[in-house]
Amino acid sequence: MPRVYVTGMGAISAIGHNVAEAFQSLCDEWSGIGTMQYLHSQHASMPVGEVSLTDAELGAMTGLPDTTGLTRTTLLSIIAAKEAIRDAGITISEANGIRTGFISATTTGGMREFERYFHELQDPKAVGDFNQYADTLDSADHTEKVAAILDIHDYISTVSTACSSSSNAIILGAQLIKHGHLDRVICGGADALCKFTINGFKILMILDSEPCRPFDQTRKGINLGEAAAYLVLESEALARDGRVIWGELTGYSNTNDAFHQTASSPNGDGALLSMQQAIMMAGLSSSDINYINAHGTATENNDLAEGMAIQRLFGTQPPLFSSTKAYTGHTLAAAGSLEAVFSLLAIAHDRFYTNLNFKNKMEELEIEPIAESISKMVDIDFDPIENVLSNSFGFGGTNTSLLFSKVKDA
Amino acid sequence: MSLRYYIQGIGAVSPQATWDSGVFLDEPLHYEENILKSVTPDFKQYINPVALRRMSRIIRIGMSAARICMTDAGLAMPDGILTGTGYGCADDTIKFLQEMLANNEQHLTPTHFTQSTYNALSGAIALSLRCTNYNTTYVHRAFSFESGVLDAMMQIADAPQKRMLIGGFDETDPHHYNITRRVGYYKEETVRNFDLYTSGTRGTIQGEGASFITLGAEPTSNAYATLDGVQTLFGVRDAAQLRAAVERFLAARGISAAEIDVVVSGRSGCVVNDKLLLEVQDDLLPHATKAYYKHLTGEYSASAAFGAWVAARILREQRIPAAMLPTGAPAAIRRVLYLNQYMGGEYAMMLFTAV
Repeated sequence: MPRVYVTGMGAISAIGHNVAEAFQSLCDEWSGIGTMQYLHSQHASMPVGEVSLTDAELGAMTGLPDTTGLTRTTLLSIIAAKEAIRDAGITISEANGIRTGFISATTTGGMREFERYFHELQDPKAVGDFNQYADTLDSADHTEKVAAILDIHDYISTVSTACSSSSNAIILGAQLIKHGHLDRVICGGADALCKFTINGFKILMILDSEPCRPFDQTRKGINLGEAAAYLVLESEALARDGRVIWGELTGYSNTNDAFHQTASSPNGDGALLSMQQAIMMAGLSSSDINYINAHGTATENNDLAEGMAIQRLFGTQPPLFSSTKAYTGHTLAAAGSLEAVFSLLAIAHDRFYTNLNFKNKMEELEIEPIAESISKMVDIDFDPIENVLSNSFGFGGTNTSLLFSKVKDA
Repeated sequence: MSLRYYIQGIGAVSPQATWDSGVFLDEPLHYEENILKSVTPDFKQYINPVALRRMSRIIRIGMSAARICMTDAGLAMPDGILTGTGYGCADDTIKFLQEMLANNEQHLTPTHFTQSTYNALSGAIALSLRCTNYNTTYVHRAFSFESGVLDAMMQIADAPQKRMLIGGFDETDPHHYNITRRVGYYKEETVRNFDLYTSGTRGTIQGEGASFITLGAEPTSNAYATLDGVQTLFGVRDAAQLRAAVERFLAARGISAAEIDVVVSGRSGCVVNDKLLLEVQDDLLPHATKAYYKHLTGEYSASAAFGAWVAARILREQRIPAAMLPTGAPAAIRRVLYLNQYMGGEYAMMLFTAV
């Protein structure tokens, strides 16, 4: 089966409007979590990771002459997908015979606009501009609009598995390449902040009113964020044509906890299984993993389950691991692909990222994330980052792990 | 090398009494409204009473269809659970939204929120079986079930011992109905479901249901048919393009259009959106018997799952129920082509062969 390489990346999040800005923020230990500026909610005091642009500014950034009917989720998606395509240096055209797909993921689609115009849309007599949003709650709406703009027709699909959604979009993309259905797939996910999710997580009492503290004993929950991020996956034959390759997707696994509708098993069974299977698929052993970009939402439940799983798999001397949720917030469907971008940047630059806001080791664990500022660790001789695991877990018991590896020159 | 994909079991809950394997749409229900809701079995037959109390209506429907399918297939533990849906758990989504708007984001309860996620059904099935295997949900209008089928086929090709549980579900919702009616999804006038195709007007009727198939490489004694491929088409501009795509799809599987005995057609009763579909099924497949199902179930994103259910039964029972308004009565049925359009936007097909 052909290998699958990552030849392009695009991302827009609270820590940058493109990949380069995001990497700078990660290196500078700059968090994008702040007060709510763009979403109008009763819970504006809740810290969030917003993309610091209005819808109109995002619209301008897309470069499209007309953005009528495009939701914020769609705008974020276009911007990140276009960056990924630019980064890969590819031209999408039916004429070149390269079978291309677009697979996106979302948890709430156009909910932000739907909740804003729900009453008007419900009223058969009401007329107005809101009509453009009549079927934008549908998850496929953003995928189809972006695919049409990008001129991608060979294959499109949309995934929604809660907080692991875009990791599963990446898995489907890789499978389609490995099985010869496609040569190239742009895959990832997008979610704009909306009141629906703010209120949902708040009523579940897993939103922290302070900046979130992944893997910290005092953690109280998540900060929500918004983002879009996409990878360009290509078959070996296509990617090896003298191009810059960010990394190879060497392993992936999707498992289910089968423990509880909204909670992970406290001993991390599902998380353990998904990491193990991804490593096995790559033909590696746990000692080959140099860095784990953890799901690390900073909920009591996730970090315990994930921490236990890491400890069970790697022992008390695990690879360096950190959560980047304290930089970006939890970007739900976009989290998997956004953190895939961060994982590939780690490989490209032999860098890993400080787990912001970590001070107190969790009582239940003997391990702790990357606490000290990287800037203080420059004198230490770390191994190059060859293999990175990226985890995404969520509601419905979903557990997905991706394994990216450095590509050595042929 | 020639791996085949067998439908080893099926299960459906729909606006017709489809949970009973003894009857096959023999006494169809007639409706005189534009929203068709499922007639439901005794859920306690399929779901343990403690779990049942906490489940929303669509989760009960989906869980029952999945259980019927697994029992039919003799499948205790699927190697993967894949669902497809358009609006997912629409009722819980809208209820949480309405509560949030009515109460100005205060005093909410979490149940509707936690049950609103699109993967709530695939997660609930996994939970009920303690199934830690592959679990995913596709949410791409009328490509949702089809995405699950393709995904499952690739996994079976990777590991032919795998048996995958694949389903499609959607629930009717008056809010979505009102809202998408603004953009012409549904008929302005009330239509009798058996008059859907003679209405001569725009729009269709809303429906719902959940249907599952078990797919595996083993030709089990209960196998209904083989599923020989799935294809989704986005951005179809005209009938010529659709026709060429169908021809390519069949040619890639070594068969000609003349070899198709039955077309299970996703005709929706909309004079505009059905146009290309009808043109291609008449021009390319004139000899095939056409049979319809959307007047029985209503239209919904994941209705292809019902299309697969019906195709599987037609092949095993070698008959087309009169309720499907077939255009003929073929003596022997070897190949069934499922051909669908959804709101004029998505086109898809699946090929089934008798075992």
